[in-house]
Amino acid sequence: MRPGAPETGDPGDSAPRHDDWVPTRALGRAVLVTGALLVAAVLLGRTDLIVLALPLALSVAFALAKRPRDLPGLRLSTVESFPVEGGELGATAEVENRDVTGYDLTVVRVQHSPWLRLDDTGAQGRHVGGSRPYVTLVPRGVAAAIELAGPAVRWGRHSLGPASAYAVAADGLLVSRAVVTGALGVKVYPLTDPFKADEAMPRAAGLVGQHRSRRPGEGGELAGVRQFGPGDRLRRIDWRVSLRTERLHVAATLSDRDAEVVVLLDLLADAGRSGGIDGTASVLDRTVRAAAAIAEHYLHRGDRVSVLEYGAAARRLRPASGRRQYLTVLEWLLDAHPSPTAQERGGAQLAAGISAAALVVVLTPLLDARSAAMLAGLARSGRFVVAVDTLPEDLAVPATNNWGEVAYRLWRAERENTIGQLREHGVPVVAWAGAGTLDAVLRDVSRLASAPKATLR
Amino acid sequence: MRQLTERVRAVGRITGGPLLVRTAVFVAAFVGLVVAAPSGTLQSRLLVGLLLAAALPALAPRSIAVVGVMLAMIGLWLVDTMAFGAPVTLTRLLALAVALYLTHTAAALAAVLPYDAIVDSQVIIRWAARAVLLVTVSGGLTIALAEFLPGRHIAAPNVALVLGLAATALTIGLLTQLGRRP
Repeated sequence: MRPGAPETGDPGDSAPRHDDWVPTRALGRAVLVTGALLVAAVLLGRTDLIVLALPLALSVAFALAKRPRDLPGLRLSTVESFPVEGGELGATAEVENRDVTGYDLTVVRVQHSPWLRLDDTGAQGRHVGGSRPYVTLVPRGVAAAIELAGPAVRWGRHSLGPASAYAVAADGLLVSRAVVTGALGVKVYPLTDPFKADEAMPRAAGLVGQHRSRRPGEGGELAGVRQFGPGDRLRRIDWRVSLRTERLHVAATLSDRDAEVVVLLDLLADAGRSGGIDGTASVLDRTVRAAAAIAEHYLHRGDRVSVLEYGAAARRLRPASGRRQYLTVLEWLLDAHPSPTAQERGGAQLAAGISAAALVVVLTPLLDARSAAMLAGLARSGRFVVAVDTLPEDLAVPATNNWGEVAYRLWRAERENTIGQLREHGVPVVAWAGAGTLDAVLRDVSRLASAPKATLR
Repeated sequence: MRQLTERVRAVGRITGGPLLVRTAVFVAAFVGLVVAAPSGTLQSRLLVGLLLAAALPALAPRSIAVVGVMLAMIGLWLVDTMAFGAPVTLTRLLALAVALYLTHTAAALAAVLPYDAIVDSQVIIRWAARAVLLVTVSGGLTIALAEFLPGRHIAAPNVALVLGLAATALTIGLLTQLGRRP
């Protein structure tokens, strides 16, 4: 198989090669049997053997009277629909006959990621499942399209293709060389779990946003009425109070502030088996879907969100706000893969790159001891840290021997101990449960934030 | 064991189109063998053997089994007509010629169809139409030849033998050349 130059370029720019079409075994068989029958007929003087040879000889002669010269053209295309998990995806494999003679059939194979459940819906109109070759008739000068459609069942960057095709002509006596197209990349965005959090935010920053701050300023939340002073805007004057007191008073408001949310993805280890949108979720699936949901929620509220990776790649997405940032986060999450590393930065090192006022939401399965150490380090550095446990509840226990169950329970107990220690260090750990996951812990963190505290820097 | 599992899984994935074509291979091969076999030897044991032999090209249409079964048909025909002295009737001859050709062409189609392919029905319909057309033309020619030729056996002199062999070589050479030319 070679890259399919002929199918992408102009038909005239690729001259036919002598090995583009090769004889099949059927041709050799027809010639052999015909020859044997004719020789026997002549040697034995039997005309009935000529009669037996006649259909075979005629079929070869008729079939090879017009033999094809050009290879079939093949094109693979997809509709840019940017599906989310579970969304429908469509693709078309178009095979073209540029020859002067028709093909008996063309066999088209489209390889694709197992997470794209594409089936033929064109000719058959029925669900057959699996990645099967398609056999279609392609008369001369005609292009036949094979429509593939189906759901994309898991987030990520998936490959659609390469597609390959070979044609059969001359009643199965000649077969063409396979033409191969390149692969197409398909982006499937994670389906965001439903997520909501109340307005509690430990420390808002900036001058615009939707969170109430404790500082007076331009905003929508009424703080009280006070006497007019230099610098106050005239439209802030509360005329009713001013008339009653005969002194100018203005309505004082609290300033609206935005907040920075840092979503930290622990990608040191993965666990569980991913079954797509309808199946079980692995740690990575839960992490990515939760990160998308948290980012969507806070970006929708006007906050700034940045995303960090705790793993070998240590990728970082700068903080920003708005819908563009949401799309950037989704794109960024597509490249999240488990990336174990021997040397990982500690919490203190991570904290150096995180704003002191930011809320750090760490999505971690707590499978690696370094994850707990990182959380503790972040908390010691004075960051507002919330850990979201992304370990699936229905994790299957490997039953390798009789001690597997006991070892698993021991490991679970040790993990619970670690979570307890983290809570003692001021790091709330909550299991990911979609909407309302962070409400209780955010209230606690906000209360802690309002209290004076000494931090190690 | 792993190969056996894969084979069983492959059987489960077979689709209707390839199954139909392979069934046609089996039927054509079995009919051809039954027609060619000496009538006196058609006992149940031999029939089982013929069934097994006919199943081989259907199971492995890309293998040498197809040509083996086709040569077996010719061999049985020669044995029946020469050793057992069975008369060559036009009906039986035509039936064998059609079975021989259909075994060949159906095996040629089965060989290029992946067993798990989703096949457009037009492919099989067009293939069958071409086979019927060719069988009709060959049948017409055969009947014409039967009327034209003096008899089933030709007492050939040496010159005719050499000429016949030359014509055979020419035919085979022509067919081979048709297959090779670019």
